[in-house]
Amino acid sequence: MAKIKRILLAEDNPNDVELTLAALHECRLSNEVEVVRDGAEALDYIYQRETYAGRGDGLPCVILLDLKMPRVDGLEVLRQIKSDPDLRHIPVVMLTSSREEKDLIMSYDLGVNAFVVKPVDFEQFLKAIRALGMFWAIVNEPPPFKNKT
Amino acid sequence: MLTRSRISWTALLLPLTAAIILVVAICSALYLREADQIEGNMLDREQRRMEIFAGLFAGDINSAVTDLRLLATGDALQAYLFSGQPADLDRATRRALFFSTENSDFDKIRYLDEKGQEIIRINRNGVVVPPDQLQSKANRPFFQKPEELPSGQIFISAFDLNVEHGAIEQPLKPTLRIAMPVFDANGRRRGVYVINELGTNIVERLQKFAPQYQQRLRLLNAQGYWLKGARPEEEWGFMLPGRSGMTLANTNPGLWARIVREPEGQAPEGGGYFTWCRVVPGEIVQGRPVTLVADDPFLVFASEISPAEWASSFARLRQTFVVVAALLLVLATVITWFFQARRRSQRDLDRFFTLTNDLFCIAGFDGYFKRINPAWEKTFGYTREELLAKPFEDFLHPDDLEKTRQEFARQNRGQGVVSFENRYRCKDGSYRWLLWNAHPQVEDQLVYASARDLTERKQIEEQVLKLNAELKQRADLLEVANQELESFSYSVSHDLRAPLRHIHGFVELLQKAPALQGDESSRRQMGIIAKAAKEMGRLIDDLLAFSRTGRAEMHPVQINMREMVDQIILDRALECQGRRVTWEIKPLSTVPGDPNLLRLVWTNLLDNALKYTRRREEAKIEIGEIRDDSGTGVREMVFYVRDNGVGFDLRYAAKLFGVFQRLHRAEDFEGTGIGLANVQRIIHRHGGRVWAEAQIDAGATFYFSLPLTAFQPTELHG
Repeated sequence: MAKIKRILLAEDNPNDVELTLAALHECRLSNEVEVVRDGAEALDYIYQRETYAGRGDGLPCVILLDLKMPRVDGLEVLRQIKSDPDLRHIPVVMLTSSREEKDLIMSYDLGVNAFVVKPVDFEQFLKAIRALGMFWAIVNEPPPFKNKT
Repeated sequence: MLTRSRISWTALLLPLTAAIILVVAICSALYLREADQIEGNMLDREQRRMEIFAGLFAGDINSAVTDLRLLATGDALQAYLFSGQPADLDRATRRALFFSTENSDFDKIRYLDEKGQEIIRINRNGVVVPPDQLQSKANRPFFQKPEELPSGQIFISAFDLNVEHGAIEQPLKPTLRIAMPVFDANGRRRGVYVINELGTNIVERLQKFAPQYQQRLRLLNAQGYWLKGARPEEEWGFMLPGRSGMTLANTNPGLWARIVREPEGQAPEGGGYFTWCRVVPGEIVQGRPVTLVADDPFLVFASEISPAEWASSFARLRQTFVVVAALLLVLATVITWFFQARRRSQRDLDRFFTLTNDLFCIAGFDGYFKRINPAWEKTFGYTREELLAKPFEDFLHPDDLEKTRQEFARQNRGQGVVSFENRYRCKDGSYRWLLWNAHPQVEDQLVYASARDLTERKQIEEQVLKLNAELKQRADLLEVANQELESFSYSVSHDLRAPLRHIHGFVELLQKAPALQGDESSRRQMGIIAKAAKEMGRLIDDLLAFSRTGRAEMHPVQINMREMVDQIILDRALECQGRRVTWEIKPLSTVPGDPNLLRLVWTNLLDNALKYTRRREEAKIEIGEIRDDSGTGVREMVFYVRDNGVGFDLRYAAKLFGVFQRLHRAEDFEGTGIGLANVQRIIHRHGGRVWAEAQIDAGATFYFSLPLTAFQPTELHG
């Protein structure tokens, strides 16, 4: 049964957005991608407030988070999601340029599900995104959610 | 307290000699005095004894004279003289007998008539000689001489040996005859009464006075002949043949001359002592109804103390004094030694007192210095007089005045202090810190103290504090710099990569654009851009890694190198597909190190080995270790990776480990040139060394050493 598996992508850099979408397009997953431009928007989307109030189409099956974003950054979003009992089951993947140890530690401390460093090489990037998308959106069995409408 | 150091004997010698001389002098003086005393006493005694002997002799004579008179003038004899009857003769004889038995000294008692015929004769001890044995003694001097004497005069013969029948009686019988004329009632001479006194008895009686007189007693007559001499062979020289020369006059004329001159006296004689006392027999009885007429002008009673005896009487004294002297000498030596030791220790103490750089002093409870060592003058620049003239309070730093006063008050109560600090002013006005130990002697009202100049130490302490503060500041600055570096690296890692990614990504996308599919040259150019972006990304990664290896914390654990190498090779298995790679892995030990960093090292070296052997048919990579058994114990382990790749030119080996330095062209072998620099940095942080050997086209061996002892990880900044 093909339920709509939404991917939430939080990325502030338009180029990176375009590249990521291009990569997801290759995997035929681009239709189900919701893009938000920073952490605040990401939280708004998840909590269905502000601009996303009443969107009514459930929670994403995976959240792809960039670390460095204006207003609210990736770690903060991660913290909020993972400390909310209703939301903490959502798989979160850090998708970022940095391999700094402290970022890794912080992320895992907060309970991130995966940490992927964006390679410079596009081919590699493609592969990585494909793998991510395939896994989280298709292979992985998402946790059952109470639908918040 | 006496030191136990050796007293030099020379130091001892002088006072000891003085002591010896003193002791000997005193002892000698005392000895001589005592000896004199003894001598004096002895001689006095001898003198007195002689006088006593003389007196006794006189007494004997006196009593004999008395007896004689009694017999000569007694009524028994007078009766016979008157009557001529045998009964009266008998009575007279009995009277004489009585005297004989009463006095054993009387050898013979005789009455000779006017013709010299023995009428009565009683021999010694009451032996009456019968008439038929009576002899005539008319020609004997002891008859002839008294015959002529008037009444009231009594004759004493010379002290000589008895002659019987014309020969000297043997055994020798020294005899003294006392005789007096006999007158009857009408005053007519009727003969002579004679008593022979036995000289031996007299002499023996004298000898019995004291044991020493057995040997000492001497008797001489007026010619100097021995009547009682040192040896019997010397006696009676005037009577016995062959002895005519045996007089004192001959043997010791000087002494004899004195004896002749002086009635009594003493003189040293041949090592001994001669004491004499003359007796004039003729004067024994004087100023009485009778006078004595003697043959001998005088007799000499003497005591001769032999040299041996003389010496021996001092022997005891000498011994005593020798012992005393010895004891005193010992005492003197001991005392001298003690004094020397004392002086020596005193000198030692004095020397230290003067020498030391510490400040010693004795202060009175009154607040003044009483005694200070030279260190005070040297340290503070005042003269001794200046320091002693004022109370020591005057030299104190004003801030320390109160606490010093309190401390001093405690001293006055008898409490010592250890490690008390205060400041004293120098002559030039500066102050110096002193560290005190002090102890009071309450009975003497003094405080004994020692102080050390702390000023240098205080200065050093200040410096240290200052340096520490500076150091802290620097450390803080360093910390700030580090933080900046951290954020820089973070920036680099994050912010630089993004644009690169974009460049690469969009170029790739472009390349896939259908419009450009036929345009080879454009596609080629875009390919170059993509590659350039990738290259830059790699450079950035490598730089970041390099920086991280300098900053990252090291977590030393025991690392099984074999396991680590095996794991890395396993990870490379994919890459090696399609190639013939022979891994020769020797046994590797377990050593301490940071696992992440050392993994980087192995990874780097193994990747290099793989890279540079790519052109070989069969890549042979050998990994092993070399123990450093230099005899001082195994202290480091050397690991190596040897390949049979292209090697490198040893002439450029210095560049091998430089950052971004490469010895091969990029188109031959890719690489940023940072790998080995990383390896070196990591190994250096572990306290080890890296080096390499190679030959062009013959392969290369890369070595690195790791110390086996616990190392001190260092942070290399930059």
